Amino acid sequence: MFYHISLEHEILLHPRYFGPQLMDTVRQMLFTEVEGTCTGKYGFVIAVTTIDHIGAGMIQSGRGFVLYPIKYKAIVFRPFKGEVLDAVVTQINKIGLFCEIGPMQCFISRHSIPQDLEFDPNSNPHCYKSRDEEVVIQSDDEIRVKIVGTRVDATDIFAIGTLMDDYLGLTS
Amino acid sequence: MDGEVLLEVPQNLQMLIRLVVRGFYMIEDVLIIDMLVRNCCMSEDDLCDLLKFDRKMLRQRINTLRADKFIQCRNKMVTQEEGKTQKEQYYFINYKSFVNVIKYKLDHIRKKLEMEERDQTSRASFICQYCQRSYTDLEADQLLDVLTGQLLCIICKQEVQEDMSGMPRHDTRIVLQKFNEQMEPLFNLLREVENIKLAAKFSEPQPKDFSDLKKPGQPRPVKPVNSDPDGRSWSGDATKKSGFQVEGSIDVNINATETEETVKTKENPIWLSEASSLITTNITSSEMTAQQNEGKNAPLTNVHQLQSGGDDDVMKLLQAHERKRKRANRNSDSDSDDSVDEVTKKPDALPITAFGTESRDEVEMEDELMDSEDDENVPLVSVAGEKVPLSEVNNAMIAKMTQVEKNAYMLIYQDFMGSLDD
Repeated sequence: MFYHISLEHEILLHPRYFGPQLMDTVRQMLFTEVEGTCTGKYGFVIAVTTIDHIGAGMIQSGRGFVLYPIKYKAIVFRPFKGEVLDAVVTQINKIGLFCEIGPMQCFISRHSIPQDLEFDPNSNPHCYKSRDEEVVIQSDDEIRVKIVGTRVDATDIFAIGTLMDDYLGLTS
Repeated sequence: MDGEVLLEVPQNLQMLIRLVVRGFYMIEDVLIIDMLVRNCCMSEDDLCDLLKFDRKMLRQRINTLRADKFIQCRNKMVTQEEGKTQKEQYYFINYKSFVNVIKYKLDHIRKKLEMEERDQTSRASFICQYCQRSYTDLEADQLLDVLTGQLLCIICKQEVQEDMSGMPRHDTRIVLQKFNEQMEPLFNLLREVENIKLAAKFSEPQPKDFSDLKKPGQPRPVKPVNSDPDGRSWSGDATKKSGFQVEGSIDVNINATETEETVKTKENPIWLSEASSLITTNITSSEMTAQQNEGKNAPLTNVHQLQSGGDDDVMKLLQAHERKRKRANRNSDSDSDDSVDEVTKKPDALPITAFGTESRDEVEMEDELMDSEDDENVPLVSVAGEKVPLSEVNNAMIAKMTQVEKNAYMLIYQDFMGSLDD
């Protein structure tokens, strides 16, 4: 699920960036450091929308670095169990398939793939396909999955999903 | 419908209850619940009779339903015909608790399915054959070797295998979905009955009397065995419709001969009980005389022979006497009673008296009175100590008789004439 929330971050700026472009550099560094990261609490930071406040920089004693506290708003993506999301297939093997839901990786076990789809080891690339070959799931295909479990680390979230429900599976 | 107190169970509530028992319980439970839906409160006996269940089985099923809180029980003291009070159990459906139980159980099922689903996502799916380390589906991203597409153990870098030793890999999500689909009618009905308020009579219903519903084939009081004219009921025809419910106890007498004896005793004529004192007195007095004079000779044997001459003779004589009594000859009875009295007055004197005396004559006379003579048709009477056939007695002989002999003669004569009449 996507959220638009206020967050805080601190930018540690090297003295070489001090100059007329200082604030642009601070903003740029915020985007670089924050976007695409993941926290267990808020999920993946997709994009910074607004920078609400850049605090006064504090020169670090004995080293010349400046620390800018920044308040900003960002769109975050936090997956939940039971959520239905679109994904892109990245890897297929006999035990299931891996896909990406935006920045998050998701594994779909072969037991969670409908039984009418069978793994075809002879095809290149590998795929899951129905007997009449009407449905073929292979790498780079877009599929709709339902999250059935998540593993949340400090800096990463991993999900497992299923295709066994109404309106799940190949969308492209 | 909100806030309105209903005086009868609405259709959708009945439907809900019937659906639930049909869906989750045995056919016997379904029948019991159906019966209780139809009849608000029923006793165990009525249920047993109407459903034709074995009582033991009925109790089992009822206990199951009670344990599940579907039906409730109330006791009532019933006074039986014999005046005994007995506790009877009545069963009824408490609809409010029934609905709550359904909700609770459905929720439990859902939770269990969800738990199973959660367990399945966190259980070991992959196992390394070399280091025996196991991994779950959630760790699959750590195992994936992007270049080869294989799943490798993070420690020994060997390919991991799927662990098939776990529970069968059916997708619990499908099960949950199926559960929702199949239970949808129940959920709908539960929503409909959510705000129903039933009248108080449904939570404490009054027992209903089903005695009028019982059909003629129901157990009836068993006829006493004696009502059989032959006294035989072994064919079972007379009792086969009565089932096994017998009022009173059945006594089985294994000793058949004893039974016959008792029956024989019953057949004895009425006079026996009345005359028994007479017979026993005579016998005992004679026996006592015989025993005490055992060492002495001829006169004793005479007495003993008279006595041992036969109980059969005594019986015959008594039967003849009985027949006569039927003709309302009360005088003879009183006479015999008098004679009994006479004998019983002197039981102690008898052994001491010498033979040939009047006392001995009395004893002999009494014996003669009871026993028939060798010539059965003509009894003998005692005349001045001599035995003379009754037919030969004349007035001169009567004049010779003592008073006692005369009385005995009259008695014998009446008996004899009475027997001739028969």
